[in-house]
Amino acid sequence: MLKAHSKKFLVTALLALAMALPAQQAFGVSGSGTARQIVIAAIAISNVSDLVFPQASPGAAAATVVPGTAENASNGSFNVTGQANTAYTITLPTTINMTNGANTIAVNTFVSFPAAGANGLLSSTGSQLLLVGATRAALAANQALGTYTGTYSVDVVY
Amino acid sequence: MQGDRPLLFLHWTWRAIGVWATFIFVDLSVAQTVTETSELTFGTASQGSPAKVVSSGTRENSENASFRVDGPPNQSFTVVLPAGSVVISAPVGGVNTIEISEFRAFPFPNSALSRDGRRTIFVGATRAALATNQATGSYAGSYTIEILF
Repeated sequence: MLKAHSKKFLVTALLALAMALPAQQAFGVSGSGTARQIVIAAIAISNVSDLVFPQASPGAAAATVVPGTAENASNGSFNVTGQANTAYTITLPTTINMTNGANTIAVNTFVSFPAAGANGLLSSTGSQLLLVGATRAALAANQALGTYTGTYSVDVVY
Repeated sequence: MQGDRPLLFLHWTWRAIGVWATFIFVDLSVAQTVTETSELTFGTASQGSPAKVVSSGTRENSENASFRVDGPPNQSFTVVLPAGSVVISAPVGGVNTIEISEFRAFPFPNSALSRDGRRTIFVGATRAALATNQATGSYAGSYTIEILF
């Protein structure tokens, strides 16, 4: 009878142990990780000079202004600023119209220096002069006289 | 016979402690660990960029983080991610902190170690939008994941 009591106690003790064991094992371990981000200066573009086609008479042939490699009286120019020594991509318009009232002259075949595409590269001070040329369509024989203007957009993106 | 009981109790208690000690020893020999194997990388972005999400993914890639969990074979566990947000910073002046939040993981939240006692956890998160005057530079910061066995 007493022995039975002892066994009962033993079973109780072992059961308590068995229950205590998993409780002891439940625990957490931590791992530390690193998150990273590189922030560069936003890219910006501002117009410096207009693209100017020389004066021409009605019926004149198409005229082309080349972008050249330096600022001059005809080519358009833009100042691109952003992160130093960083490449960027240039997108030019295809065709725009210059207008004078209801009269229009098409401008197309835009060309730039550096060339359109992933050819821009900001200097060590984070800037680059972007030059633009284009071709003005031939003028109609009855082209209205006057001053024609229009706007075009140049997009730059990293 | 009544006097036998304390003696018997002591005997079995010591035996129980012996068994207990053995279990502790076995536990130590396969201690659970969590080790970062790759960083959470949001890449390069310019000032003013919108928020960016790096998903946890289901395998290693160039952006998600990965952690190796080691422990006893087949042991199940639960992944606990940072509850709120953490801040990464750059050692420069100005607006030099970025918030990282919405941590996510795969597998999540429950998983188990393989028969080899190993499992890789992939982690992603959301990087807040960058201020237009965000200081330029390299930002870094740490976060903690917890594995509950």
